Amino acid sequence: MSATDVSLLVALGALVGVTLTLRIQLPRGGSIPMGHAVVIAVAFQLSFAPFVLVCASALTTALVVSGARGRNEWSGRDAVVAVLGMAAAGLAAVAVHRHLPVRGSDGWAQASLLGVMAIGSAHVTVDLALGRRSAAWSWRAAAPVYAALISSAALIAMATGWLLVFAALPLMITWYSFERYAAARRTYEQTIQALGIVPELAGHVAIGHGERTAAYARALAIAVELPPERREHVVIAARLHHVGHVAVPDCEETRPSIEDSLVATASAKILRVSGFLPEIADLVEALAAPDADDAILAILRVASAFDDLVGEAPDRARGALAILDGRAEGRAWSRVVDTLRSLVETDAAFVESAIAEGAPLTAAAAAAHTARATVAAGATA
Amino acid sequence: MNLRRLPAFEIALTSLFFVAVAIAALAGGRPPWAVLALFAGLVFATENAAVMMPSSITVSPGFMLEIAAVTVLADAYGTSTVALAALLIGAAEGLRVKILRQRRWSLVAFNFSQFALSSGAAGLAFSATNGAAPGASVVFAPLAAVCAYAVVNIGLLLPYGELRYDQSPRATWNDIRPALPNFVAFGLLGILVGRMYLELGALALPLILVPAAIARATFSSYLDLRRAHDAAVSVFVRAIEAKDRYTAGHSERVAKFAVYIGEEMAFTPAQLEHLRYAALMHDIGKLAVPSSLLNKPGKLTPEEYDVVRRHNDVCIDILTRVDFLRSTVPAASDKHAHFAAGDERDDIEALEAYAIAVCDAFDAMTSTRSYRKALSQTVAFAELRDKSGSQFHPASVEALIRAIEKRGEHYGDGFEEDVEHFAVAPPVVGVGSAGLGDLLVEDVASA
Repeated sequence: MSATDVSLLVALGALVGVTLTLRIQLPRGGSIPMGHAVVIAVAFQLSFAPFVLVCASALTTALVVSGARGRNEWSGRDAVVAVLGMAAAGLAAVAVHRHLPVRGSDGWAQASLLGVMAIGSAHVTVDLALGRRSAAWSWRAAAPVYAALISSAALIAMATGWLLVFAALPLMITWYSFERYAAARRTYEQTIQALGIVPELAGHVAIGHGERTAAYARALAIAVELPPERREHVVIAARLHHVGHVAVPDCEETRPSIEDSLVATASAKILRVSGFLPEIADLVEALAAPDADDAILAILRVASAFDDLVGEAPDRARGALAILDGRAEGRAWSRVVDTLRSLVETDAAFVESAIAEGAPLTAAAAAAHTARATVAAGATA
Repeated sequence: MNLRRLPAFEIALTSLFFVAVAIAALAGGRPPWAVLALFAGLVFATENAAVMMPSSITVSPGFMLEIAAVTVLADAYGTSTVALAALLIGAAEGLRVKILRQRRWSLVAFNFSQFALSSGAAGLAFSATNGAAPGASVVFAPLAAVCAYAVVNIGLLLPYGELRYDQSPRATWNDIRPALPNFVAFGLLGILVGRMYLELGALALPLILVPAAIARATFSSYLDLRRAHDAAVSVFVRAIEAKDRYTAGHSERVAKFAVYIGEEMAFTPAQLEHLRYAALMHDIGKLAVPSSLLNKPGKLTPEEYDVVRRHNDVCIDILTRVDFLRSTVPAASDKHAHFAAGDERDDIEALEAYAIAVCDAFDAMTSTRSYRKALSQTVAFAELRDKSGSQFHPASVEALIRAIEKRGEHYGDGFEEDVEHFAVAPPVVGVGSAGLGDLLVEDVASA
């Protein structure tokens, strides 16, 4: 290899490295590096030695770029997994090149596609087997992204000349569409959170109740293995189950409890009139009926009641579980209480982390409540 | 099918299509049927799976595949095959299963014919310009095809809008104009897809279409999410109205007026959407105030005022945590929404706050409240102009007045939509015109 070749390969590696730091965000959490497609394509295009040089440059660039962004995206384990994934792709490419017909001959395109798929499978298998995956990871969400990555890899691998630039376009479109979705999702989740906090700000519900209930409900939904979509519904319903407080006149308010049928009915009505997800309105409305008990309702009831009892004092957790045990006796949700107990007992920080999630408000919130209490006390006197 | 219900314009277009097919079949070469079927099938599938943005005319990916087909056929099978193939692929683009199921035959006939004729024109343009210069088939001929398609497509849509929807050609043109860059973008993509096909064979199509289909599915989910988000914002609005039922419809009207101002001030679509959300949520502060204090008939005690202020602080704290609500902070806090002469800002966040403040005041004046009957639109305009430059952003005031007058709309006394009936009839004039101070009978009479 001449010095020019080496320079070009290092530059190509830098480009690959940048794509490794760009991640396609999956709809319900987790992400996949867009650079997988480029690594697979480069493995197909180059012979082994230049590929190794490109990979070294790519990894260095990825680490530098990631460090410069100040994000903790590339741990030591990630780097090791990337090296192993690249090695797998490189070795698969060596095998593929031995059997590939001459470019332009009959069957070259089909054989190339099979070759790219073989290289892609080797690379992705290593990543899937050894890479980090968040709790929200879903194969259903990841499979189409991998399909898009391998299709794009094949296009990039097989294109030549100026078409190479265009070959990267489908990959960019895929990345952009997922980015746009992720941004919209962030806004949506922030809106739901803000909505859940409203009754708390107005003093109808303990500050942080919605977020803490959502944290307990999420953990319970994962523990009982609800499918991702239902899991999401439980979390949204947990955040919004008390939104109806704002529609209930002050004089009719009784106590901040999930069993308050008036609030549950009002919440469901507001959600339904607004055209919000009908599943959430149904869930919230079902809470008004004390006898309605399915797995999801049980999670909501237990999560909310547990937070009512524990609040911001984690040392109350065991006592709260004992009370819930008594209440759950003979009811369908006793299994959920058992699950909650095992979560509390296995993870010492479980309740603390839920409380931390439920503390989105600043000292201003406490001050507002103190002022409200002062006025209320004055009015009573 | 009842032929008598088919209007003449659609019959003429359909006839023209069949004549064009006959001429192309007799005068030109036969296209390769397998390639033709492949592209026609893909165009049909793409069109029927297209994700449409609400209320906008768009150029779909089917157009991209048509240009790709023209490029492939001309290069690999000769330009004589292009016209007939383009007509038939265009016809496939016009066949929409949904419209067929609805049995809207005149629309079926129009779509089928106009897409086929547009596509046929593209084929003819490609054939005519291909070979005009070295390398013309790569860029020049496909671009001529894109232009011919756009001209025929738009040329047929303009009279159709007037005939069937009573929409003037100018109004139809205004709808189409934002989509014009899509013709160029999809046209260029079509050229590239065609070149990829020629380079790699038919295998290139699924490799391009798999990521495109996944991107389409993601975009569809994105639109679903936007609808859910709209509904979530609507929950906020309902909650605000549940808290203060005497201001029913206020948030929606303020949002509508704010969009009027945004349009007059040439906001981009994304900025308009942001402005609409911010305007819908501008009264979010009310949710943090206890109902007893919000609806208290008399003055608040200092302690009660402190409660309101502190709750407002918390509310602002929440708003700053939500990206799209951050610009509502000035309106919600009531600290910076009012225009201060000499301290004018021209960033988008400030413009949003200025616009919302003007709309809030205008709607407050033109709605009946417990403390005052609705004022007339003339009085409200006069009040806004009077405070323009001191309390309100002058450009926002003029933009709102111009937009309402341009639309010929009327608000205020005699034109209210959501009239609330109060136990005690509100006075004709009084305090509380969105911070405008006391309005006197003489003020109203002299406006």
